[in-house]
Amino acid sequence: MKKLVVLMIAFAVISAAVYVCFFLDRITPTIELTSADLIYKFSMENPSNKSTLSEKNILLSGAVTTVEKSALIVDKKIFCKFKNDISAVKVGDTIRLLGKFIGFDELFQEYKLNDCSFVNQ
Amino acid sequence: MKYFLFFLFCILGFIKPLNLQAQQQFMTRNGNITFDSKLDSFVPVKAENSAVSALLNADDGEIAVLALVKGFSFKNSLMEEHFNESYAESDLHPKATFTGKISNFDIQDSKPYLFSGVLSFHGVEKQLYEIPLSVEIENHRIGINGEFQLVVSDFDIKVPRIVRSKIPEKIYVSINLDLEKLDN
Repeated sequence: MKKLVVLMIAFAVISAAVYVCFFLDRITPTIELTSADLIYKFSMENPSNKSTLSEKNILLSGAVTTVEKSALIVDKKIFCKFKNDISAVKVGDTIRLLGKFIGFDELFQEYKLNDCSFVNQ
Repeated sequence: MKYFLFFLFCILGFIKPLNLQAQQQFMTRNGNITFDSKLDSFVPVKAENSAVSALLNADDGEIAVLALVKGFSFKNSLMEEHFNESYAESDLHPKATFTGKISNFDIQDSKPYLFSGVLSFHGVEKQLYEIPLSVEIENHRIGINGEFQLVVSDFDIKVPRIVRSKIPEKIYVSINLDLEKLDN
């Protein structure tokens, strides 16, 4: 009986270890930022290194300054492309969204987030 | 006083022509570019970017297009990871751009036009000559649509021998830009 318990515990420990090693790092971590934080963090990045911003999901909060067909511009500088419907959003709304940072757009001098979705306040 | 008047005229001379020719610019931030190998493989090599920026000067037909490489999404997320890390190396080369000119562009005329310019991707600049794309001009809007082919080996993309048979040689790029008039 004792043997069985030890075996079960050992199995549980090993499967937990396997889970941590192989699956946990696949789940993308999230960082919460304001527009100014995002701009600052991007400016501090070394372009020859791997970007730390694009490895994480970004939880951004800010005020909507422009509404486009399927995208919003937050705080005049952050362009957010949405997957779902955004027709209810108006200029001036304060929103919180989750998205993926894809880089800096030199043509319009904006920072771009892709695959965005709303997060409840 | 004489010099002052001379300078004044010089300055006015510069400002006036600039004011008269208010440039007609058209832009989009929601342009669409997809690339597709069009091969019947088990997992199709196909990706879409729907946050492409473009700026067109309707007076002389000059156009600039910018797509962030990380904005290309694949159906298969593992393929997307490989594309970003091993092939496109999007941390080192975060953007794909095209800067060029539309030959004989006329804002009154909707028809296929020829686009020539430089396409830059993965740190390689490739000259493109006379790519035909359809241009639809409506009031305050310009739509640019079409498809062209690119050769993967032109862009210095290292493909390991073991997967060479699975990576296509040619890629079909289709572009769909809906540009709006920019208020000056």
